[in-house]
Amino acid sequence: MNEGLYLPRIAVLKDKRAETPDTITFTFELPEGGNLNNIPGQCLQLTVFGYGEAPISITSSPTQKDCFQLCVRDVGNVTKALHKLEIGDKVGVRGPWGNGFPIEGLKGKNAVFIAGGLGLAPLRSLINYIVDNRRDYGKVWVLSGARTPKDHLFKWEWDRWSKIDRFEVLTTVDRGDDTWTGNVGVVGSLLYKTDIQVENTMVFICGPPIMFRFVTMDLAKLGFKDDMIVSTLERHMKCGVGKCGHCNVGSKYVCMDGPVFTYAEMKKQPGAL
Amino acid sequence: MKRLFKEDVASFVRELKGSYKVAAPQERDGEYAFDFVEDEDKVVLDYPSTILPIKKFFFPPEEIILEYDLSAEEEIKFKSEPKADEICILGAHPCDINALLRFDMVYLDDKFDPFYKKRREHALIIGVYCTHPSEACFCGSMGTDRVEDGYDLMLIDGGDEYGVEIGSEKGDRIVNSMEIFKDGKDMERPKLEGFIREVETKDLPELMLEKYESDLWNDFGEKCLGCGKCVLVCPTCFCYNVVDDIGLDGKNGERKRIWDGCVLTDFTLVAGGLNFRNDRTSRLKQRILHKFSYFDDKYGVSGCTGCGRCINVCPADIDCTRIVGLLRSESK
Repeated sequence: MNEGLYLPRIAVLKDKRAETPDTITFTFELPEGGNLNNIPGQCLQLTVFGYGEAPISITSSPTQKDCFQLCVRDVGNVTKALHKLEIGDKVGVRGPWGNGFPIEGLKGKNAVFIAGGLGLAPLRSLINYIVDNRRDYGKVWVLSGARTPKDHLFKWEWDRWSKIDRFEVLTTVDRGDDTWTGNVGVVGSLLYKTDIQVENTMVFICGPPIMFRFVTMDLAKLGFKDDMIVSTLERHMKCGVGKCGHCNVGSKYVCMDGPVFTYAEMKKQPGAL
Repeated sequence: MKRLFKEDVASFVRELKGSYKVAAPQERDGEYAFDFVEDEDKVVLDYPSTILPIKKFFFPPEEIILEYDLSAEEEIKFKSEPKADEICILGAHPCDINALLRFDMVYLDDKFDPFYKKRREHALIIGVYCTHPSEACFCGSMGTDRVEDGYDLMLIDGGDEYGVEIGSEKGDRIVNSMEIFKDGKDMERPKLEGFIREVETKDLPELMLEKYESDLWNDFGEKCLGCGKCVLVCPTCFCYNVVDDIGLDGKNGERKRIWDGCVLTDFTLVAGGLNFRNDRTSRLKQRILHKFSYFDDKYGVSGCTGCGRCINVCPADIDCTRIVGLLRSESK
């Protein structure tokens, strides 16, 4: 029933892990146990009491049974307040909502993940879903770019992912520093540094609009079709249930019909790109 | 067909007030507004259009959708309880009833809005067929001068009396239980004529998409003041913003929703400063396209009911029928 459409459920903060100077991965538990039964790629509405509600993508895979995780940069009113919370503090959660990534359609196929900065947060939910259901999926390439070495998220996952069968992790930065010995350049350049197979491969992109534009040009050059390129749309959201209108793009609502769309679908919706 | 004599309307309203809070058009500052009736003699059923449509009775300009109490250490208490009075909307025109049906498509879907639903369930709708279009009206083009659903009773103006069409069981009970309704002969629904404005609706959703990149949008975008009046008076504009208010002691909070509009500057602004519709042209285009294309694509009917209110209130004289007409002539 929907009587409680606007009623949050409580989650308790269990862990904070600093990813970058302005981004933290928060681990929450539900008092009733379990996780959110989310599909990778879904998002939720997070309430920090006294501040408000904000849409946040879920970075954990549903295969992580006992908790859920959100990776959040402190850019707004609610997220700044979230950053100040302490272990044991309570937040409100509505969701998960949205369509999520095509975990069924991807079965038996290879996956390329292309992340720009914070874009790795939603992609990680699917990457870890594949890690935990390894036999169902083909080769995986994780290409992650950030402005500087200190802006990279989930550096602690890189090693773990690299060691997994048929996984390749490539990273780059726009500007290096003394500690960085890896690639320097835009994330799209990583596509040419490894032998990515186009056939039977889906590409998942998350990052700033400018990055998306250039990466899709690279992908077209390599021969990827628009319906094999998948991304998420970021929009302002207030309700999460297709009412408030803020996330409307063409005839779609990002909160319900998205946030995941193929590039082919995005091209059909005016104003999506 | 039952009939209601016009001289009995005030008595009818008085009788309705025994069971309902009755809202009906009344004169206000030389215009007409739907308001709850105090003086039954002030009810006007022969009126051109009202300032605001009837959506305000189902989707108030501001309402609390959640309250939270943080005072107990161990448990946060929530309240999100829809409440509704038994109300009667008397005198709604077909265009506004059609608008309510479009609102239902959005707010009564499988993720229905409990606040709206409760109010809808507790409302009696008694409409009246409009007899003469105002200057800004174009319901004739949108097919919303007719109404087949969404009312309990509909009144047909027949001079000294109204013919009464029954649209629901609830309406049937009222007509057959009140002695004020007399037997009469059948009446025809009025046929509206003399529209000044028209919109050619054939393949309109497709045309609008086709002309998405037209330079014409800039002409109107540059005129638009971004004031949002068109949204406030629109019977089908359903968007809202959400804000949290916390008490000074930090223990109690309220979450309110407030009418919002896609023509306003910050509507698509996300944390971090990115605004997806960062200029007036793209915002005006969103509103017009949502009415004439996107809504149709999603729900199968136009999002505009041709009530003309947005044309009446626009301080920049932006007229959606003119935009559509110019786009159409461009494509020919």
